[in-house]
Amino acid sequence: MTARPTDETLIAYVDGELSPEQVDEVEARLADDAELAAEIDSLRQASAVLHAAFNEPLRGPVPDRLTRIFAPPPAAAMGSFGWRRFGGPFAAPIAASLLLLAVSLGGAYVIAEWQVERRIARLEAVRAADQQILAAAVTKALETHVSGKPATWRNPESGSYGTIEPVRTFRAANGQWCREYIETADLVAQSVQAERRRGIACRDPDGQWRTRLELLEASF
Amino acid sequence: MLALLPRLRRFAYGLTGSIDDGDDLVQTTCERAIRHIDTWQPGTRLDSWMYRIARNTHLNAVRASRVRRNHLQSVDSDDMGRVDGARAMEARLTFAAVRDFVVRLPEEQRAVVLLVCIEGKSYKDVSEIMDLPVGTVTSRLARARLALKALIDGPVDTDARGEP
Repeated sequence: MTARPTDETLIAYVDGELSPEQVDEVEARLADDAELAAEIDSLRQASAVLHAAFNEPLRGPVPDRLTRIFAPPPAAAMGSFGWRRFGGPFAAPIAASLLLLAVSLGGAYVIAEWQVERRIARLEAVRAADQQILAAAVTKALETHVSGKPATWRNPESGSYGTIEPVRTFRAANGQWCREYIETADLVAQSVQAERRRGIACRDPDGQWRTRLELLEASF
Repeated sequence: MLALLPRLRRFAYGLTGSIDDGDDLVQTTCERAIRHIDTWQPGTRLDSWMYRIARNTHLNAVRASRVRRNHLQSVDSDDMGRVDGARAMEARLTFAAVRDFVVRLPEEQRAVVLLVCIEGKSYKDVSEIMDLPVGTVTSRLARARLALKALIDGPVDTDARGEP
């Protein structure tokens, strides 16, 4: 039998960083080494808990002070600079043209600002719509699909899409039915890349499936 | 960039240990990124570039402040598993305990763990973001992961594990 893999190898295995040959080696060993299998399980568990512990910023809306950074610089503030100091015969035309400049810069700023606001609002709406469709798809898949049969969903408005595949069903110690699932999603308004997650959801007495753990397996 | 904000906030939350401090970091990071957008090479990953800025900004802030806050003081990894394990045993394992653990990790291990376990980055991406050889990424990751495993394995909560 081959030597026991090092901790670093096991961790790389969990992270999907080993070459196919190395994976075969670890898995050959895993087949008849329950202790090793338990160790890998608890490494996976540790990652999942870690992942879930920092999820909070993904749920709520992004604070205004952060989205505001992406608004254009306030051009209007510089628009009407010191025109009162001018005197003499040209004062009126200069003042008039400066005023015009100020108004148009201010107008341009207001329009730019409005466009950014609108874009953010649209993104927010897309995100909410995606979440709603996604939640409905997850509930339906967990409630009605047999393990191994993926359900797909798509939001034609945003182009976001994904699949949910229940992979196994079990009863937790407290009697609740739980299902492990694999979810892939490309959420246009939320992330730059598609992600694959593995999670466990349990069915609460009110009939709602609630996710207990979720682990990001890959982004591509 | 706007689309990256949620994930950047999560990363900054992990680095600083608080959502508010994390958002301060994200704000600085975005402002920098916008100012230096010409140094980003199109074709390379924007998210990696932003993580890199966030991580460097954070490191600079920690170094500049000199007065390291108590909870940022690094703890010996071996010690950490035991002490935290015992405490978590009483309070049961909560996400707060895991966050506490991450915040106590030495600076150089924390970013590696966050990028690999939470942001789902490959070792190679992380080595590029942090300017480290892949071997160093692997060993830092191993040290932190084993300590975390010890923390979680310590207080086994049979209800929450849901083993069939």
